[in-house]
Amino acid sequence: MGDFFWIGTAIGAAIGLLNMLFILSSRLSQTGLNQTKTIWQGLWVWVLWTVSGAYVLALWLLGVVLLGLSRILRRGIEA
Amino acid sequence: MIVGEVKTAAIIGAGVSGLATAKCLTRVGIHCKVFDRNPYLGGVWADGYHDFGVQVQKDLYEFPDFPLSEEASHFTPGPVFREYLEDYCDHFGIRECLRLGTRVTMIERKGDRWLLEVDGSENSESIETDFVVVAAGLYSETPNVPNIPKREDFGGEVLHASEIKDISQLKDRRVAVIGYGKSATDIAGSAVGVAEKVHLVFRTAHWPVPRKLLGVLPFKWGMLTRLVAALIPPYVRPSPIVRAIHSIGYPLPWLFWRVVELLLSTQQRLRMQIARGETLMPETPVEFDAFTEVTMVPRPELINSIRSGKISAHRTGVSAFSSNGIDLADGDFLEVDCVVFGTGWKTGYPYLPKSILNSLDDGPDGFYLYRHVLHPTVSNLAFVGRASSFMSVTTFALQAKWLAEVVAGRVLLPDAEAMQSDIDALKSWKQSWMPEGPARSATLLLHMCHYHDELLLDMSADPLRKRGFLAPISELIVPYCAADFRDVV
Repeated sequence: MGDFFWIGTAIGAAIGLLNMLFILSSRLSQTGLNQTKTIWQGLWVWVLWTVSGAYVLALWLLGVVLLGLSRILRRGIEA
Repeated sequence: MIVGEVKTAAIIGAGVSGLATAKCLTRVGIHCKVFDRNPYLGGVWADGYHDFGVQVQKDLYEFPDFPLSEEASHFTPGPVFREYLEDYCDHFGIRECLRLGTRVTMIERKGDRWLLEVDGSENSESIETDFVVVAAGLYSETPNVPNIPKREDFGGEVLHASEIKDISQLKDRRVAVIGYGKSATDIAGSAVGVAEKVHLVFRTAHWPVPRKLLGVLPFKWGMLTRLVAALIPPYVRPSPIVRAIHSIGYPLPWLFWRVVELLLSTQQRLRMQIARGETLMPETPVEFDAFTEVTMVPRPELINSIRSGKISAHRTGVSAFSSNGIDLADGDFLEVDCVVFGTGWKTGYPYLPKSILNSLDDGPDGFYLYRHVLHPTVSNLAFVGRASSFMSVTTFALQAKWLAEVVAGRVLLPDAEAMQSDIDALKSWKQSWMPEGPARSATLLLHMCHYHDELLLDMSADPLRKRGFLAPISELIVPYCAADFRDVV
């Protein structure tokens, strides 16, 4: 459980970092935007991804299982 | 595309988008004339069917810079909204622009300018103008009534929903309402207790969205946030990273939407049996069904009326009329003396000549425009209000402001090639996943925040509208409302 939590957090941190860089790169080049807000938004996005990473991973795994089951069921019905 | 100096503009339609356009263009020094065939302003709000009204909460459906009064009910009734548009007109001093009761019958090029043929109540005239804005919405004034065989045999009355001005027209009659959109379900619901018998006949079930999810949470919180917008197929031209996250991460939004479907079907008991053992369960997944033309937030009593049998629901088509009723495609026969078509309106702009429609590349989806407003090959012709959104008034107000900024030269357009490339990308993106329909080119709905972002960035305004210390969280989970755009329009 502890390992899963840390793996999820690490994945969340990595995706959050990418999301933050995306926000920074897309907004810092724009004129007329409040860049303090840009940095604040980017940091929050990174923090939120990191904090929720384990939960997102758990939901993603649940989605993988249920999506797989639903596809198998659908194939069965169609056959 | 804007060519030459624009001093005068003709705006077709005095509804929400026409009034917003008149306000914005007037403010950049353009002399506007707003033409509307109706003798009163309001567009679709000028004169609707019995008990028509706004289907979303009032903070979503008002002008950002002119809020509805505190006293207005949460779901604004049609006549109240029309009065509100009158007040808007007076507040921004655009009443003198109005040419009500005048129908534009033809638009044609005259050199670099436009020539409009206009029919008034007493005379017809030709008007020259530099710029034309079509602000008549997506649909024409032609009711969309399916061509059903043997109509001439039917001894009863056939009406379009727009003709039901007073529900007493259906008093003590056996009525079949055809359709499953807003007008059909509103009329069927209103007819309960008035008509002797009410049938609702529809071929395709759609996901009805309750005003409050689980009876507690206004639907906007569950459907109109940036977080939810991140869980639908990514917006046009996604970056490789976004595309990768959406591919690998697909099970997550898939799970989210299945939970939404479970909540919607449980709350509204969509699995209940209707005629012939059918149910109200839609076949299209909710995340795609939300992009069809029939996006519905029904009145709360509708589902209860179907459940209790006050409305007899039939999930099938109408195969033919007979002398005393209608034959259904599933073999049933409904003995009725009035058939009401709640099947909407046809799309189209009858005053636009074929040559212009060809230039706009009008097709089965309608025509695609740059930022849903301009086309690179037809200069000095713009469309405002040709976009479907849950916050139409805000969307149209932003379009009008964007257009005024373009005309004033404060927003620079890319060259024609880049605009066309943008349009092509939009077209192929929509055609790759969005359900087919005559208005697909103009469909935004759950993607509306991404479209608003584009307009705002063009105007050098910040797409992140929330304020305060926790603004980043609000941006994700708090839905936008019209007031968030107050300082832009």
